[in-house]
Amino acid sequence: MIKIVMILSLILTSLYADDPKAREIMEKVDARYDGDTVSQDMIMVLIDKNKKKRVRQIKSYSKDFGVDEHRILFFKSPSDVKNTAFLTYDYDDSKRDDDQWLYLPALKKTKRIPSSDKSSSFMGSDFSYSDMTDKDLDDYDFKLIKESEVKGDKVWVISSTPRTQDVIDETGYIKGVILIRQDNYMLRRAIYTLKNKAKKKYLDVSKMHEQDGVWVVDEMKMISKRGKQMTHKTVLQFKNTQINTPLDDESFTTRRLEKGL
Amino acid sequence: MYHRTVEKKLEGVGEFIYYHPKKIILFIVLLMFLPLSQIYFLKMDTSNEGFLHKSSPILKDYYEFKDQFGRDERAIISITSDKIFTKDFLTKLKTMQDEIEANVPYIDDVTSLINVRNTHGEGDSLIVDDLVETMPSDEEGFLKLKQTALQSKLYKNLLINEKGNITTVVIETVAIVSKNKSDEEALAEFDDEVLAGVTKKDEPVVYLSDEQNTEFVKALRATVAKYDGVDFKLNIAGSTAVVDALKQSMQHDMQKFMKITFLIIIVFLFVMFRRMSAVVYPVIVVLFSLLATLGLMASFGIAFKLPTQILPSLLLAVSVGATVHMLSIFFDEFNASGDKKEAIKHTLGHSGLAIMMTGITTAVGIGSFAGSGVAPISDMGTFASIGVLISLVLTLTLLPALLVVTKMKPRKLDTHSYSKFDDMMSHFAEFPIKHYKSVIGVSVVLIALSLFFGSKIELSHNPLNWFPETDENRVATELLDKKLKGTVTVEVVIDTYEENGWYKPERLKKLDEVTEELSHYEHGDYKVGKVISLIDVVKETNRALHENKESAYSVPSDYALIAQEMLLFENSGSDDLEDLVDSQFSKTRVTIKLPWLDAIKSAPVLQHIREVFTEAFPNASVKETGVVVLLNETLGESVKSSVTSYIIAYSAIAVLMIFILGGVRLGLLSMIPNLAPIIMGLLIMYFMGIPLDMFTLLIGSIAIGLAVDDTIHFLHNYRRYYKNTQDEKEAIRKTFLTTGKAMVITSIVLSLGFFSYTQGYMYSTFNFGFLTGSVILVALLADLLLVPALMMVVTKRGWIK
Repeated sequence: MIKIVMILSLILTSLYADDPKAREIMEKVDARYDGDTVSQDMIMVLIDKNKKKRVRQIKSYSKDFGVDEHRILFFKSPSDVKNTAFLTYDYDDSKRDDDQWLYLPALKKTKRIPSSDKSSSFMGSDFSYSDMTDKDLDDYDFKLIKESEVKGDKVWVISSTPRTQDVIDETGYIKGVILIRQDNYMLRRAIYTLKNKAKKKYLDVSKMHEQDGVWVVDEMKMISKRGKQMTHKTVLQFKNTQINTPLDDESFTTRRLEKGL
Repeated sequence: MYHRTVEKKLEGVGEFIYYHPKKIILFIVLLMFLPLSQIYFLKMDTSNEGFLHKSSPILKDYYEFKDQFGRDERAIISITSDKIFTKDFLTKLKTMQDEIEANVPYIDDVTSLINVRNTHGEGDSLIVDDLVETMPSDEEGFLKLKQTALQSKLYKNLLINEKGNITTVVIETVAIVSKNKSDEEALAEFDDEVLAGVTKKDEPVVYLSDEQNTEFVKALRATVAKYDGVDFKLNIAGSTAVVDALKQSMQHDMQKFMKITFLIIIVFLFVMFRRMSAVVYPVIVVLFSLLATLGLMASFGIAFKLPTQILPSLLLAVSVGATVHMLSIFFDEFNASGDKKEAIKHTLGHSGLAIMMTGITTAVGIGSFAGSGVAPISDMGTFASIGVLISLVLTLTLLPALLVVTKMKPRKLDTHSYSKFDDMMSHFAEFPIKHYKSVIGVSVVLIALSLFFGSKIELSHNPLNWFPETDENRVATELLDKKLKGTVTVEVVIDTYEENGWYKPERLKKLDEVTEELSHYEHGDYKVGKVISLIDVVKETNRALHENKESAYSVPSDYALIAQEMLLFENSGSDDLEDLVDSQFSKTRVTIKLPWLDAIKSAPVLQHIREVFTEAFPNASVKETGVVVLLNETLGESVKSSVTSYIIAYSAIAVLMIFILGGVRLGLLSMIPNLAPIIMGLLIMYFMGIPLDMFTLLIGSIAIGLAVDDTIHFLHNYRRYYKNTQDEKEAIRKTFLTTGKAMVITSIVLSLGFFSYTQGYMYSTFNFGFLTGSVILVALLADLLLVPALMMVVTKRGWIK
């Protein structure tokens, strides 16, 4: 019996080419405590290849509901989309599609936007919905490539490969190389190769700090490149971050969405 | 006067060659080494942008467009079937699409009925998903799908025809190519570029090359071939496929032309001289000239394009003539005297000058295209003319040097076959002498007729029409043009220079009006098949937000609502906006789908499009680009530069003739029998229905450079004999018997060289070869009839001194 299990697991590991060391690291990243509620100001700067900028200011609240996470976003500027708001229920179960609602103040209507596709852009930025949500570790094979350093911080360089075509279709990525900081298990950098192989996305989590025992990202950049050319870039800055301030469940409903800030 | 000096000098050259043949051969071989080593790098390019110079402003706009919105040229797979909306068909379609995406390189986007954007409202939900997100499970589901597909304004004539029995898969390739980087390289890039926040400015952008396009089309054809079947009739169309097919036939044809030309040359040389050396050496000379020219093209990075494909056999046919003149004089002299040194000296002294002059006139004729606005025509002008000059130099140096080092014995030629020829020629000579007035009269009438019909010939530029009617690419493209109203596009970019300029309701409504008007526009054969713009997204989002009510398929009047709807669309799972607007919402792109028609017909349509947009958006910049615009520009440039080229060629050759013939009157008069055949070529074109395109427009200058050679030979000798006899009739007879024979033979060989193009697959080269060959034969007739007839008239008046 034990023999069969061993053989099976051998077959499985070779099939998935998974690396237990890398998986252990990723599990720690996944398990890292990031607060039960977070509220923050988000400044999104969209930069096109001609260096022209668009700035969006968003107020963001999120809360853990068991294993799921609910998040609500209110646009503060630019004025034409002020009070437009998004509500997202991100389910831990990767088989279940996330729920999203959008409130359009000009129509005074809330619309549900069901989407199984997480590869699409988050608010017109270079970040996709899948970049903004936790990933299900079971969907990927991980492999530790090497240890390295980023700006004096030691990191593990891990490759992640989707296990199924469905995951590729959903995230739009065929491969990722992830750099994890060894001191705090925070994602430091990543390079994603898109389904359209000519495109790559470069993530740099450039600023972070520790607050109430939780590591908080202050600034991250996502650069979309086609070969050597930068096609677009997004800088996300987070300010006035508050961890574990009480937010009641009512704050994550469509009613709250329509009420505005 | 100067004739004597030059002849003396050339004799000196002959003597030098006689004493140092090996040095000359070695020197030339060494000199050839550099260009020959480059030939390997010679490229082929049949792309539509390849017709224009890199510096063309039209091309600049085109690349700017590609930078922003991607490549406008697509491959379109059309599938004909009566069972499109069935599980079997759609499953097969999806499998094929997945395989294309996985296996074919340089793909940017593949759109079919399976994954096309479907924006709709359901209850309180707004859904932007793929049309076949999940395969329907029952009859009813497929029926509903069919309804949705056929009712959609977006899919109509884009992915499905009105009857619902032809569907397409539209494949867009990347515009800009980049090497796939390894993870290591990508990681290393982080610190350099990502953190610095800039892309290195000096990195040149590399657009998808013509070779990569070929790679793409090949892989696509290979991938989809196995799906072709009874209820899945596949055709590949679109300009990417056409461009590739042009290249395949070009490669094939070019080899064929060269083989035929070589064969003609070898057979002809053997029949004429019956000596191995007289076959091998000219072949070495023309081959060296050809290879050196190709090597030069390669080292200048000039690719072979459709018009340049005629260069190799053109060069072969044109340069062999000079070697024939050299050899015939040499062997005449050598066979008679057995003295090689004297024979070489005599050959260079006697015909060196004439060969130089005829070489120069040919080079001037072809070279007059060097300034053409059509890139390959200008390349062809430059390099064919360089090639002619290289071969001229080699004929005057390498050929005699090779003759010197070869051991040979004088041989008495069997003159029997020649005497028959002599009889014929002396017979023929009597005709213009007796009937000179009729000859001139008939010529005048023919010229007048030709000019009359010539004015009715249409201009044309349409690479698709260069294929035979039965060619699969032409058939596929014409099928789609007919059934789905178009395969090519005009792309219009409207830049408001205003952030969020395209949120403005009044501007969007204007755009709506314009696109609506344009989508019904017709001009002659041109019917606009479809207009795709931002309006589609705005309207369908608005409708989906209003419970799918058709009345809401409109542009909202509220600025904020449009802004919010666009934000919603950005978040709803579709990346289609980036194909329509820049991220600032200041520029938008309007795609106007048109059938692939002749560029001459697109001019008024482009004009109309330009007017409509500039009138609607007076404060914005409006730029039209895309394949249709490129083809149109190419046609315009072909015509413009042909006119310039003719003026240059005719005036330069007229000046040369004045110089060669030593008189203004005589020089200008000699242009008449040379222009006449070209004008008569128009008559042939009219009756054969051949259009004036970039190939046939070449003939005007190429033919004059060649036709004038015979005139030079004729008049040169006529004048000499007239001096001796003071009798114009006797002089004509003598000229017929000497130079006349050589003229007949070289003209026949030259025309055969051009007729070899009629063995090509494409009409373009067929027309060119047939016409040039015919014009050369007509020019021969003009030299044998009109020139002596004119001499009959002017000699009496004392024009010949």
